Amino acid sequence: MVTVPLILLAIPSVIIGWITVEPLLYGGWLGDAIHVAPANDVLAKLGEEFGSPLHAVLDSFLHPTLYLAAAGAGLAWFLYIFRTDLPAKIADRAKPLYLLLANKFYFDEVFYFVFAGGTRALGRLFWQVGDVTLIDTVAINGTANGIGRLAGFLRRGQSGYLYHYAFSMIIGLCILLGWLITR
Amino acid sequence: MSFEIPQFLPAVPELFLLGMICFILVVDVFLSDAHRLVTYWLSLATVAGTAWLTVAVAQQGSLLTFSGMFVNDAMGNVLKLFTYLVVAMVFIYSRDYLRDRGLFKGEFYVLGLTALLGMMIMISAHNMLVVYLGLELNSLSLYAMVALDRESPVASEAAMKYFVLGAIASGILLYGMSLLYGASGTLDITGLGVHIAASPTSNIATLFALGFIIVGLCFKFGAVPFHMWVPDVYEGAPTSVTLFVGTAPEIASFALFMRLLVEGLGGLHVQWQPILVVISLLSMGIGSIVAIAQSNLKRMLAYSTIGHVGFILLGILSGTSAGYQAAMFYTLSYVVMATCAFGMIILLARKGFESERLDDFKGLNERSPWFAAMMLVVMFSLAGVPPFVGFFAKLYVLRSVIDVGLTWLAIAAVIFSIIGAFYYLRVVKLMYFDRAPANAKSLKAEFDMRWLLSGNGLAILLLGVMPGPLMALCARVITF
Amino acid sequence: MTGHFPILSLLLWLPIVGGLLVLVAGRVAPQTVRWLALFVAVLSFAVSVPLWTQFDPTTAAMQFTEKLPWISTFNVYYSLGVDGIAMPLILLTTFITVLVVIAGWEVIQYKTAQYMAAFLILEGLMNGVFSAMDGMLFYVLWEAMLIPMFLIIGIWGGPRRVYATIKFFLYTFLGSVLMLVALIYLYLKAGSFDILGFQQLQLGMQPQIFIFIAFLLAFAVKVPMWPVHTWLPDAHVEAPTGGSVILAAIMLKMGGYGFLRFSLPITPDASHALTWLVVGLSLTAIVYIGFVAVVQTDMKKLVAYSSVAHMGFVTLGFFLLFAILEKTGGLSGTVMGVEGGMVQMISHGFISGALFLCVGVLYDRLHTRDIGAYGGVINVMPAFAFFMVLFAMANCGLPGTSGFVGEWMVILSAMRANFWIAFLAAFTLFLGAAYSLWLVKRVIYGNIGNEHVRAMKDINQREMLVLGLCAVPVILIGIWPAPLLDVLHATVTNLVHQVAQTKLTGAIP
Repeated sequence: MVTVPLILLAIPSVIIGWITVEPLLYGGWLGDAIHVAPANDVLAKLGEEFGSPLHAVLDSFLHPTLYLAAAGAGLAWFLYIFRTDLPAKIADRAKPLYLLLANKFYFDEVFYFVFAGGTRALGRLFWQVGDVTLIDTVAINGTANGIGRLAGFLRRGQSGYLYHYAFSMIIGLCILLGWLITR
Repeated sequence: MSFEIPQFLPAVPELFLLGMICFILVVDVFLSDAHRLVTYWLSLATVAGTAWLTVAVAQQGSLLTFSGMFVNDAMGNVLKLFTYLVVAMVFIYSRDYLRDRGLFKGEFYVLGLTALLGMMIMISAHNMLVVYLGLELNSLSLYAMVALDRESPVASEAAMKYFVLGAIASGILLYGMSLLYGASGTLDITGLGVHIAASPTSNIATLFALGFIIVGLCFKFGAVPFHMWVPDVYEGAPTSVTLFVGTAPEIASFALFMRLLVEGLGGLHVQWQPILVVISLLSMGIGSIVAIAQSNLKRMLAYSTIGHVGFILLGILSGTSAGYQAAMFYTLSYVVMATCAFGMIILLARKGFESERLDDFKGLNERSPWFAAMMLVVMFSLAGVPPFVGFFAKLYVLRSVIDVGLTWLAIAAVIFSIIGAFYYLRVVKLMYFDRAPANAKSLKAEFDMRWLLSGNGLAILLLGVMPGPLMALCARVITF
Repeated sequence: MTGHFPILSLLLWLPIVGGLLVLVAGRVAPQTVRWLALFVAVLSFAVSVPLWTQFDPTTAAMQFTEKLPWISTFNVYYSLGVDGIAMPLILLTTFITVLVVIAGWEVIQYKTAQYMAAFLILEGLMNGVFSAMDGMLFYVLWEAMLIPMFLIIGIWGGPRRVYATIKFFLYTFLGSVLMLVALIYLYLKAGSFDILGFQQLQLGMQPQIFIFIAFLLAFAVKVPMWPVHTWLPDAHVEAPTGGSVILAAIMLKMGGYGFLRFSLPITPDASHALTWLVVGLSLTAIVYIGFVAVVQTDMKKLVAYSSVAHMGFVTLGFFLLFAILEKTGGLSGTVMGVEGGMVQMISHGFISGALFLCVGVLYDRLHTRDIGAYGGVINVMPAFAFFMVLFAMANCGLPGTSGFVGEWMVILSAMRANFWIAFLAAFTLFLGAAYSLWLVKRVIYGNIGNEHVRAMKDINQREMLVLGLCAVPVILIGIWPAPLLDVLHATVTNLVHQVAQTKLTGAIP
């Protein structure tokens, strides 16, 4: 069902490629938009050997690219149209390699567990241990509770007994006098 | 020495007050309970009259009379005027409270006036014996006022403690004064100053005397470790008396510090500064921390008083004019705040129901948003949060402390004030964040009380937004 | 007074007086409360517009200045003025207050008058903080702000509001009181509380360090920086929506403003010496808090932590100038860093305000902030989903939104200083994307989570107005930041040059 559109797409691709290859790659159609330093200008080097589109087509037979592409197409035809039993057997034989490739090198899983899971774990660590425990519980509430407990403790200094009060005054006086003398 | 007829004019306010006290005492005997309002109005009129007289006889500079035992100067007059204002407010706030509890007796007013007389004498004293006279007059009146509610065991206990501890403190103070007399040969404050300036190294007797006197003074003020009477007396006394004890005598105690410690023993500043540093730190600390554990508002305010006394001492200990002015400003603004705070407690109280527990303030915002706002103003002001006057008082005091190089002390002071802020916040929390309990009673108070209390609260806000005039006043009258 | 209309005084007092009027209206005419509050808020915004239109962007001097004696004993003046740093912040304040008033229209039923009044009074105080030219005036307003916020969180907040608001108050109070001591010290040295006077004051290294630390504590708690940030999640979560918006959009910015107004110019040498501290804490905020934000299950907490991370960017941008100075010996790139921080502040004000409003919309319907309770909201609330996704994208710094501009400028500036700083700072890009997108995926996209979600109604006109008003500046600043940058430029350039000069030569130790 996809065949007709593909054919309809393939034909104009060839035509457009034929027309635009020279001006676009070697003809300076892009002008000053892209600047390449002369030492790095690969396309300029290639352009020295470029003649015409026909020349490029014929030239392609001298390079491995065409043959690799043809081999790929040929292999695909062989495995999926001619000998359709073979792909399953190959997958069976080279199971680990097959799975690695089929699962896209397990990149998704790595991302999911290492990066996302790691982020969440790190976040939880920072949150629970850092913020909640160290800062809030120990430092903040710890200080507040500490002062509260100190208040409760000091409160008992106010015993209600008159002689305690009187003694605290006398003791205060004695400390004061002692300090004044020894000064 | 020969007896010279003293100039009576500078002392006319005191003489007037004394005469009126006798008059009211006699008139009151013939009044029945139904007509007790006459006493009330007479007392108010007396206070007003005394105030008018004080202004009328005010002099430029200071004037000594009664053989140099009595001084009429600007600082004294300003302090006295504030005292009259506070006493008048106490009388007005207390009227209904006393009536509801059967305490609406002439004794309250007569004792209040004698206490006022004592305070006036303390403020105007220029002789150690006169200081003692004023102090005792004031203290004895207060002891009796605390015990006014004969039915209440708590009040009697409080009065007992106050009396015994006060007697010990008075004894200590008197002993210190006698040592000073022995060392210097004079009871006169100026004479004391001269003697101390003259002697190159202070001898043991003077130092001892200094120690005893500081103890006596700190007791009256309520500074640690001589503060133990404060929570018990504030809690035990009827709230009107607490209102009285917690406000006006603070002004007089400040005057005591100024007369005795600064004017008289100012030359020993090097000796008493470190002592006051320690006392001030302890007061701020105890005041801030222990108040957290209280559930009774009067007790909590008692500890808050102790904390604020620590701050006032910060101003005094710095030893500079700016420091004394700061301490005076703090004292005056503190008294305004305390009057409002205790006034609020009285406002919420009602026949058979004391409102002194913190929980009684729950949901006040729903019952009466205006007075909840007034209490909010008082609480934040006591905590030292701008834009209320409490902040500027602290600012003034901190500045004088940093100016003499005691920055660490300023840092300690602000840290204590943060700790202390918590219990003020707690009151605000109860008023605004909690819902009123189902059986909450609505506020019932007379017209004049509502207006005066509102004015009191607004004064705290106003003095905070415009503290300049009061600060300038303090700066003008303190010239030591 | 310099003869022109006292706009800044008006901006300070109009909302306060308006707030008090609202309180009175609450007693005498309760049905007019909301409209009166809205009127006052819109009027305040209208009054602040001339600040922008009549602002002179070519000068770094203070504009719209006013000066009256206030407390002569302390030589304190009622002195107001704005420059390029303060002016956008004031506009942000007045704008956001309008949004907050509209946002609280239906939700707040208990003591509405007090609610509206609290926000209006708060607005006046905040305007005052940004325009105060006198240190004592600044401090008074800075602390006074705490009172309405304390009440807002405590009265209309969530279940743990009492803990949160007391924590907020005491934490911030603690930070600020040391600033008070430093201000008094500066006053005793300079003779007045004038901030510009402080900036000119020569100080030795020892006092500078002490003053810097004091200011740092105050501003670090406000911003908030790690590790004194823990009041923020609690306060934001428990506050009512309007409270969270004001907290995030404006109150945090005061910390940043404080650094620019106080720490950098008054103690440049100490700032230089302790840059490592501030940069380190900023990077920690960006990275550490970014991670923490990812694992949150409470939507408001997530946005709260994201706020901390974004503010880390702001403080980083401000203090990069010393790192660049050391590395390159020149100032190129420093202005960009500070401007980036400023743009980030403004942009974050809108974005985080908008996000809290979005969360508020959801909360008003289901009364829960738990992410697990939602799912597939887009199916029932497409209009809302549009806004939420927009703001989430802006939060991660999508180019085209204002979130990108500030972050990009700071990262570029960081590159100039140190590759590793830029590397760590860039973490915000992917962590921000992680938590924002994950939030959106769990809440907005997917299948409808449960029956409650199915019953949710889409946003009504009022909510659409509020969210729309937020979206406009976010996109506007994103595609055309030039007007904002132009206003900042002169002031920031002057600041950078001033700060780069050491005070130690000829100093009084």
